[in-house]
Amino acid sequence: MHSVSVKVKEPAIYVILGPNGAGKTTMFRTIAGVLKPSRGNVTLEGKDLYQSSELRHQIGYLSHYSALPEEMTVTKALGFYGGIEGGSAQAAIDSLGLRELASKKVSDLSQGQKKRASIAKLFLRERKLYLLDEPTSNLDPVAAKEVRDKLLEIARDRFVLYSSHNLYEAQEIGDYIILIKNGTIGFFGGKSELKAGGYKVGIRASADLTTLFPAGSKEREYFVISVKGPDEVGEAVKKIVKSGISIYEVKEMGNPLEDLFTVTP
Amino acid sequence: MDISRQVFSRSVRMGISYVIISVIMGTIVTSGLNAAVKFGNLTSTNGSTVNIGNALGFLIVPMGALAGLVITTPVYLLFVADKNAGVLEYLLAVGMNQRDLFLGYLKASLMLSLLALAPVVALNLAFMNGGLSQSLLVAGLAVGTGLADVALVTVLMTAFSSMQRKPTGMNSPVGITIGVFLLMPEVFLLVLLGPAAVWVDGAVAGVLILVALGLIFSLDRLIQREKLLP
Repeated sequence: MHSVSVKVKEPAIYVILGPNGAGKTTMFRTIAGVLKPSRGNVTLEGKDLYQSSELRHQIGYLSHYSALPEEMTVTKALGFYGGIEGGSAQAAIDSLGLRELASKKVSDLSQGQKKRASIAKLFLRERKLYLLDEPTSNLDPVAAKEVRDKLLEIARDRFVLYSSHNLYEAQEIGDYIILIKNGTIGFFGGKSELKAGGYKVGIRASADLTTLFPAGSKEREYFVISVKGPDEVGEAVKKIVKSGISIYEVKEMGNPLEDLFTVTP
Repeated sequence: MDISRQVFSRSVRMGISYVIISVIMGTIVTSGLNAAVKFGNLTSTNGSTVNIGNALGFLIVPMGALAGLVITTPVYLLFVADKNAGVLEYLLAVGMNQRDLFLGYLKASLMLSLLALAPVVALNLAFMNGGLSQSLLVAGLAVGTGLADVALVTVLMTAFSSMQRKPTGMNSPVGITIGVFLLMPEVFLLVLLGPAAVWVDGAVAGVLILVALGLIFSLDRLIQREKLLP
């Protein structure tokens, strides 16, 4: 990464978007004070984070790894961190409703369960800044929503930096989007300012859809339409059903994030 | 933030077999060698009797130190496991630095080592071979050599397992191998020098302590934070 300069001033959710290998994890590790920036610095309240243990103590950091001792139960693993950094394991368990996992060994958990237990350690105590590197990967939709709701609650008065390579998730949860492109910041602004590339959806239906969507086109067995976002897909589906045509399949035909990285937002 | 108590208790729980074997090893070696000191007379072909006890008594130093080193193996394995699981990364992110982490594992190693060295000291004082001063000297040298060797091995283990690119911890036992190797001259020189080898024991302990302290003070340069990441 190079020439990265970002200043976040108001409590909100800042989603860091970028494809795999873009440098999201490096950026998070640098912000967390785990990696030393080769040039420049990362500051919290005007003080250098890498140098200050007290300031780093104000950070909650979720990496790709569970960071839970495998031999312990979830309660003991959270208690292990509670004993080191302070905080209550029970509060962390309650924060994400993990009672059913509390007495299970970390090594016996599924990937998704491990992720939830790992996220719970961020709620051992209050923090000023939350750094979450792809927190919803491996989570089922219900658990992912639960995590997102919790983060929305936190972001009312604290800073949340959330990395993802999913544009739709970013648009759903983020107040601000930070786009990483070619190792630097390609875009930083409110999500409404982000001009995503065309979102193309293929629909396989019982009849031709040209009359309903004159701008659409045929691509193999799919009729492809362009929409601005996921909300418009629902509208299109309603329109088709209303006209008495059966829908067999709705499929995303291209990843708009790929387009986003080839155009200047 | 101090993680030494947690590292110690986790190491004991996960590596209980190492703990049992090392304590038994320390007990057997000290009892056996002390018994040899008391009763170990060799009769040569010309009929003269040679007491081998004085020389054997000093073997307690490297052998006791070895027991004190072997018992720390779970700490090194735990270090690699914690590094690979992202535990060290998380601890760095919540305010610890590489020195805090290293000292946590070092203190745990030393505490574990004392567990294996305790029977060495107790049995040596119980046998009281060569009087109180010699028993204390041998016990003290065993503890000094053992703890210095453990400190040195902990630095080497951390440095070696941090140097490798593949996160499998394959290089971690290299430190232990070097630690064992460093104790070997004491055994050989004892055979050559007899009781005079006590000076060698003392010198080895002194050098180990100095090298270990030197490495501990250079820790920030030796171990970078990025080397503690999975």
